[in-house]
Amino acid sequence: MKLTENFKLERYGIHVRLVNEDDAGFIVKLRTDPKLGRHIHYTDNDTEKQKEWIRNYKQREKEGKDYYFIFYYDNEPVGLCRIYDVEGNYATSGSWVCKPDLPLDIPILTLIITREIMFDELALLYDRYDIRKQNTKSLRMNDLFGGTKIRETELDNYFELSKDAFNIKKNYLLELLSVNR
Amino acid sequence: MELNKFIEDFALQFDETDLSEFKPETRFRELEEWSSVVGLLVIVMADEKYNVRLNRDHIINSKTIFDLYKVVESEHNKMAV
Repeated sequence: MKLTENFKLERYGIHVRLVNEDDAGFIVKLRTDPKLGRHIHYTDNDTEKQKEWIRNYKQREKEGKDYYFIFYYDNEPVGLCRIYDVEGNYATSGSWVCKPDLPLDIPILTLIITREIMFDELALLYDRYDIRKQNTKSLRMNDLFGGTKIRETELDNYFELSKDAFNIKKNYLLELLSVNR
Repeated sequence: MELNKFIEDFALQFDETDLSEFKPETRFRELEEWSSVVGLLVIVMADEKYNVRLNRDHIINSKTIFDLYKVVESEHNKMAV
């Protein structure tokens, strides 16, 4: 299954849609925010370059290989996440970043929504991703979401999260966040 | 419940902040490392170690670690009744 260019979803009070060139300024601002730590991959502080990247991405989006989401809360853009390398029953979620100082459940919910899109809207079965071994908080988040380690290198652990494992953990996470489904 | 043990459990949810920063009067949401991820880990810690379900309002309404300890203690005692 593929998402169309005008894909939109509202869940848990959060709205999500696919990014377009008009979002380049927000993306650059968020991804170069020094408060957001050292675990974000480097992004050029250049809106025009970001627009060019989005133009190239839109081709991958049309092919159903790559989806880049922007999340809104209280009518403000608050976060970003991607589903990429879509192939067969697999894809990778990543490039997750949210504004600092949001209510603490909102960023976590954007992660849950991304997996819901992956497993329910795109009907994929597995999320495969890697986490740097030094990124201990992401590793603990992975435990909370139910990912299983499938291999490792000196620097990274590689995980697989199945739809079934996610759905079990999702219910616990939503309960913890006191979110009504 | 014991305050020092709670502070120790709370501090374990962080991995970049010096242990000396964690005191009863520490305004935890002002710590540089505080984030939604750490917040979720604190909620999980309260659930697993103290059988208490913290919510967003508990966190928002607590300024210091001691405030949060009192919430957890109060909820824990309610469960024990």
